[in-house]
Formats: sequence, structure tokens, C-alpha cells
Amino acid sequence: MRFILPQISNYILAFLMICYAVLALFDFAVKKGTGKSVIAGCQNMCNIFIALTGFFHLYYVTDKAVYLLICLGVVVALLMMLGFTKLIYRDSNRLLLNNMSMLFTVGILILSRISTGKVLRQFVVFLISLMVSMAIPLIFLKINFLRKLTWAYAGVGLAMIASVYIAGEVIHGSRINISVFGLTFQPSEAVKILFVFFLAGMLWDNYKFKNIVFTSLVSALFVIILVISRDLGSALIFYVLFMFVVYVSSGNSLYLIGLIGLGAGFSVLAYKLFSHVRIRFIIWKDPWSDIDNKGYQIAQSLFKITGGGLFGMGLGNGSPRDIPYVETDFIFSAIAEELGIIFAIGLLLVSLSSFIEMMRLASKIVDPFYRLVVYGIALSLTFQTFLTVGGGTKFIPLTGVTYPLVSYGGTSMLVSMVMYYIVQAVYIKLRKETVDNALKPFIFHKKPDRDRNNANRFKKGN
Amino acid sequence: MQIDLKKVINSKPQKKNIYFSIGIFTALFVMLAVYINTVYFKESKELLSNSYNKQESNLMKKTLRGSILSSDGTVLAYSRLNADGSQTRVYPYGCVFCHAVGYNAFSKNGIEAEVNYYLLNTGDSVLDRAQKSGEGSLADGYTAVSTLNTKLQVLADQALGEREGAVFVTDVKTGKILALVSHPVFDPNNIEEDWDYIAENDSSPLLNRVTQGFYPPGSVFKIFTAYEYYREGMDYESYGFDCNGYFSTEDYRISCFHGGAHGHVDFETSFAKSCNSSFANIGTSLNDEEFKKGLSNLLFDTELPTGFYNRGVSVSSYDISSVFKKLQTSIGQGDTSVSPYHINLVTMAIANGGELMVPYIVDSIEDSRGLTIKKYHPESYGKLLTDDESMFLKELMRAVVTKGTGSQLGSDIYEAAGKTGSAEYNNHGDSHGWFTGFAPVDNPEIAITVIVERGGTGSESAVPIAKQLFDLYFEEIR
Repeated sequence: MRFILPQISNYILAFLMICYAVLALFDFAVKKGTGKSVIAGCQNMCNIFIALTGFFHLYYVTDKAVYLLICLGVVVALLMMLGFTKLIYRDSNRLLLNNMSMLFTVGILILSRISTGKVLRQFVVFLISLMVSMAIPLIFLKINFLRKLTWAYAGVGLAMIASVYIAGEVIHGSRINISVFGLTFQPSEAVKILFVFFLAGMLWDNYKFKNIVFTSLVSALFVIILVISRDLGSALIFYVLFMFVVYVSSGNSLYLIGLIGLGAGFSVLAYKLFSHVRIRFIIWKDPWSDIDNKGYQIAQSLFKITGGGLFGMGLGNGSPRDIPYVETDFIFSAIAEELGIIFAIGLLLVSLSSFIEMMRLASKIVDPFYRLVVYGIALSLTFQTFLTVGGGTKFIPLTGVTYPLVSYGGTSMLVSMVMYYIVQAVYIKLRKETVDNALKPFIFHKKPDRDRNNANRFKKGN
Repeated sequence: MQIDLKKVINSKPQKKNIYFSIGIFTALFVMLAVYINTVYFKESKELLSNSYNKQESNLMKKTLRGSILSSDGTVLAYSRLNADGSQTRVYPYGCVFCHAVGYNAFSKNGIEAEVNYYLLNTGDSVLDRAQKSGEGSLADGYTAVSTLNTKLQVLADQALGEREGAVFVTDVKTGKILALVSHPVFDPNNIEEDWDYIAENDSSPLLNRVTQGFYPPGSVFKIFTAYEYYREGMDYESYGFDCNGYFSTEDYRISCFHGGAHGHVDFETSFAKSCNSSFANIGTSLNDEEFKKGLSNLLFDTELPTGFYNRGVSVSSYDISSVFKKLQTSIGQGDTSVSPYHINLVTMAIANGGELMVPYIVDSIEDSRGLTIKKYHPESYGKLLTDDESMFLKELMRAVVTKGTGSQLGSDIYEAAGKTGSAEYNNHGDSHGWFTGFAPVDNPEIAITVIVERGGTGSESAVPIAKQLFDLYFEEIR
């Protein structure tokens, strides 16, 4: 048994991850009620067992007790998040909560494998983010003028990214970070939320052509500042957000087609104008001819993804640190190396499940402002996941963005959690209002059965 | 909560578009997942061999690098686990297989490079691994079984001795490489310690002379000239030439080897006795454009097909841009360069009725219990020659043994055929000795190509080596 445990832990981990992912997708087929609770419970079990198996494996192969400590920390943190959220907000969405805790678990597991020194900081960031995020649904329930602050979002957002361009630290040719009192922030991450609110504020009640053009001009300012700051990943996310939010709010497919064409045109222009855009593209086409220098990262990342096999090298058996910036931009490659491709694909499915759940929610909200907010957030999180995984696997050019909730990094963690909790807030708000507001039929689309059930449940509860 | 009802809009198209967005991004994720799997299944073997890939050192923590065997089961390379957990690669035959099996150091070559992925990975079950881990050993990497024949390889190495050159033996029906020797050699056991000496040595021991060698073909080229003469539909049966030791045209003069005169020769005798004057005469009658076409049919100026790991194979070249160059080319001198590998490919094709089987060196991959998990199959490159052309050349090459420069190959147990060559490499008449041939004539099995650098004539230097190999093959191995 002693020798067999480290040999099979990876099969267990892959199995648990696939179970979790299948449950997450199966959840969509199940109607509300006990079925959903059972699924959520099973997911929590999978999640806890992944943490236990992973950290015990690490403890076993390295003999370092610190892994047991981290394991305890993870379990406590997860119980705190799941417990407090459910306790304070009875109506919160369980699937999204579970997915958050899963992504966080995997992130901490692989981070503690890469560098135990960074785990404590990540924990602190997590707890701060959790405290901030827990307040969000409360704020949303009390405040109703969010849709009126459109110009504040745009102004503050533009000011933030412009300040980075002017005063930011230059790291590898990009201006992304800004330091205040010794703490480093990545404002473009946070501005994403403001941008989503700006778009929603602009477009929720007015999707005439003139207004859309006006919105486009402001959005273009955001994107241009990001491109000249060489924060190409964020620039791309902002453009895609703009494109899809216009598409959905207007209900007109022509906008999507037109904006995709426009985006392609801008990409060609950026390719011609900026050498850093050209370099990204050239490395993507052929990292091998400059493997010593610019192609090094992506080549190492490919080695890791293909080197671990379907079930991975086993935690502790790989060498994720061969990839520079593995813990932020290439976390997926490290996961694929040590935990295997099956596990890594499972992780992608978890992200996809969050996306679909958020989108489903967006489709049920009648209030167009919140609909666009939820839609924008779902899009932002998902497209960023696509960029980081696609970039690390050479599916698309590398843009150097983080994996939401998985990657190491304070701003990324805080912003991702806030985004999840904003969606939770809208969910909670609307569920509350569904039952005690006269506007009931306008909040959710008419689904008489479900509404009646909800109403009944509420009555019983009182 | 106050929502202005007028602003609550009819959101039917919005809903539709949200569903469509779900579709788009789900499709993107599915494509990404499919792509990752494709990269894994298609490219992981190649990526593992990249010298920048440090994955190997991780795998070596879990797996003992697999062995490489000859076709008869002799161990050609294996790994030993040291007390500190590192592994030492051992080559029991030392230098003998150095170019065929290759080496495994900071870089890799030969079979070591070709099947690196399998040698580093294991087919052991979880239970086996747990047991081995309990015993303090590692999982066993897959074993590679090569097509090499130990006896032929050892003999070829001995026969070449201290001389520089190359010996290449192939199975004409399958393309299996039976022996691959290139001299001078290096010791793969000590390659890291000896690296500076090996890399800077003027005689280039790292060069695989079979594939990367670049030699004038000398009279071996007459196979090509004869082929072209036949292909252009010339009347070879009534051909005749009076050789008095040289052939001259306009201002140029081609001499027979060391000026010897052959008297009256027909086509077959010209070939068998390797009469330069007669072949220069034959060369003048060839059409330039057709000649180029014929040579490209026989893989000149062409990327040669290979079914094994290599660091580039020499592309053979020639120059017939002037009358004199064409005359020299007809007898394999001038600006003509070939690799022994190219000559062997053409010999294989002639022997196999025109069809060329692509040479390969790894036969199968086995797990530690001896189960074959991957089998390498013969692959045809297609027909280089027609049946008639191959029959014509076979008969010519048989005549070399029955009444020409290859008469030493006469034997009671097999009928060999071939062509010798003495390729002059300077203006003093010094030459490399060539031989290429196959046996048995009726139903050819193996093709042998030998070059001995500075060996004098082919009959003196190369033919005796081929003779020993043919004898061994037909007496013991077959």
C-alpha cells in the first residue's frame, strides 16, 4: 500500500475531476430541488477529496509537513466560503460557488507544488477577496442607482488604465502594473468590471445606432490605451466584451458580423503598426526558430503539456518552473504536466460550466441592465480562460493573461472573485424579488410552474 | 426596487443571441480541447526529442531508460541505475554500433534519438511499478528491437578494420537495415568525456559516412550510364568498341584505369571490365536532357527517402554542362558526388525488380514483459525502374562477377552480382575503392555497399569485405 499510493493518486485525481466536471454539466439537466442539492453535495465531496489526495501525495513524496498545513488551510477556506455564503445568502447559486471552490483548490494545489512560499500570500489574498466579495450581494440589494453611474465607470476606468500607461512599471516591455504604497496592482484587471458596467449602463435602455457609435468611441479609447501599454490580452478581452455586449443588447447579428470584421481589420493594422504585436504573431507561427529567446516560454509550455501524458507525471515529479511565469500565465501547462491532460480538460469543463450557468442566468433576467452585467462578466471570465489556455498551448498567439481563480496573483484573484459574486448578487437579488415583488413576472420570464413553486416555498419558509 | 416598466424591453432577440453566444464559446472550448489532444497524440514524441525539453530528466526519475536490442536479441544498449539515482548508459559493443544505435548524451543520435520517447516511457502496470518502487528500482522503459544483425555488423566493422570508409547492408525485400558501419568510430560509452576530441577530430568520427558521406562514385556510376543507354532505347546488343586505353574527342581525353587497354569490347564486357574509354564513348551518344531525366529517376538531385532518424542525408549531384564534364560524368568522375546510401538504394531497387523499399532500422517496440506494443512495417517508395530495366542491369552486374572486376565473389553457395569502382579523388591516380551489389541474382535478398577511402581499386579493397559479408550471410545467417 505504501508504494502503491503515489502510483495511483493521479488516477484518483483525474477520476475525481472528471466526476466533478460531469456533475457540473449534468446539473443543467436537473430541475430545481433535491436533485440539485445531491449533485452539489457530491461535487463538494469530489472537491475535498481532490484536496486531500493531492496534498497527501505531496506530503508523501516530499516528507514536508507544510503540505498538510496547506491542506488544512484549503479545507477551512473552502468551508468558510461555501458555509458563510450559504449562511448569509440562502438564495446563492450553489453550482457557481462549487466551481469557484474547485478552481481555487486546483490553483492552490499546483501553486504549493510550484512554490510553497507563494501559498501564504495567495491565502491572504483569497481571504481578503472573500471578505470584499461577501459584501457585494448586500450592496446590490440596497443600492439601485448602479445603472446611473455609466460615466463614472468610464471616467474612472479610463483614468486607471491611463495612469498605468503614464506611471506604470515596465515589465518585459509592457506597462501593466502600478505600485501604490509598496503593493502592486494590475488595474486593467479591475477596469474590466468597470467596463462591463459602463457597457451595460450605456446599452441597457438604448441601442439606437447613434448610441452604439458613441459607445464604440469610448470603448475604442480603452482598447487603444491598452494596446499602446502593450497589454494585448486585456485589449483583446475589452474588444470582445464590447463586441458581444453590443450584439446581445441590440439583438442584431449584423453588429457581431460587422464588429468581427472590424476587429480583424484592426488586428491587421496593429500588426503593421506595432512591433510587439508582430512578435507575438511570429512566435505563435514558429516558436522553434527563436527557441533560445522569444520562443522559449511557449516551447517549454508545449513540452509540459505533452510531457505529462493523459494522467500526468504526478505532483512533484514534473518541473513546472522550466516555464518562466508559470504560476501566472502558464498555470494550465503546469497542471497538464503533473496532473495530466484528462485532469486539465476537466478543469476547462469546470470553467465552461460556470460560463453556461451564468449565461443561463443572463437569459432569464428581464432587467436588461443586470442581464448585460451578468452576460459581460460571464464573457470576460470565459474569454480570459480561453486566452490563457489557448495561448499556452499555441492554439492562438500568446497574450499573457491569468487563469481566473487558478493563477497566482492578487488582482486577478480579487477581480475574479468579485465578478463571481456580482453574478451571485444579481441571482440573489432577483430570487428575492421574484417572490416578494409585484414585478415578479417581469424579473424572470414567465415560467408559471417554477414561479408558483418558488412562491410556495417562500410561504412555507415564513 | 423600482424598474421603469417602459424601459423593460421585449428581449426575445436578446435571449436568442445569448444562446448563440453560449454556442460560440462552447464551440471554442471544444475546439481547444480537441486541439490539446491532437497536439498530445501527434506531437509529443517529436517534442520530447527536442534538446530544449527537460522533460526527460523528470521521466528518468521514474523510468529506467529502455534497452536497444539487435534483431537476434543481443543487447546493444542498456541503462544501469546508480546509487545516487542517476542512470548510466552502457553500450556492450563499444564502438561497433556507434553510428547505427547512436548515442545518448547531451544530444542524441541514431536509434537512441529515433525511439527516445518509448525508451523513456514505461508499459509497466501500476502494480509492477509499485512493486519495483518497493524494491528500490525504477519502472522499465520500453525496449526497442532493431533490424540490425549483430554478426554482420561485427564482421563489417572488423573487415573495414583501421581503414576509413563505410559498409551498408540492407534487406532488399523489406528495406531492413542489417548493418551500418562508418569508420572512423567513437565510443558512445564515453562520448561526454571524449566530446572535445571527437568533435574536433579532422577525420570526423561523428559523421555517418553511409548517409552523410559525399564521394565521387567512380565506375559504380556506370550503372547509371548503362541504365540511361538502355532507357534511351539504344541498340546495346550490337554495341562494340575498340579500346586502346583511352578515348578522345575534340580536345579531351579519357583514359582507362591506369591506362590499361581492353581491346574489342561489347556492351556487357565494357561494363564487366569497367572500361572507361568505352563508357566515355557511350556517354557521348546520350541525350543531355534525357540523361538528366534518367539521373533524377534514380534519385540524383533528390531528397533520399529514409525510414529512420538521421541528421540529413547527402543529396547527390552531377554536372554535365560541358562536353568534357559529360564524358567524365559517364564514368563517375568530374563533379559527381554520391553517398553510399544513395548507391545502396539504387542497388536495392535493381535487386528488387525496380521497387525500392525504404530502409528502416527499428523493427518493434516491446514492453518489459516482451509484448510488442508497436511494430514498424516495410514501406515502398515506389518503382524506380521498370522490370526490363532492372533485369537488364541485373544481368550486367552478374557479368561483373562472372567475367569482370568482381570475380572474387564467385561462390558455390550463392550467385552474387555487383559493380566495383575506383574513384579518383586527386590528380595522382589515388582512389577510393567501391563495391555495390546483391545476392542471390535470381531472388535477391541482401544488398551490400562498401566504400574504402584511399583503398585503391574496388577489387582490392571493397570486394573482399563484401565477399566476407556474403559468405557469412549465406553460410550462417540465412
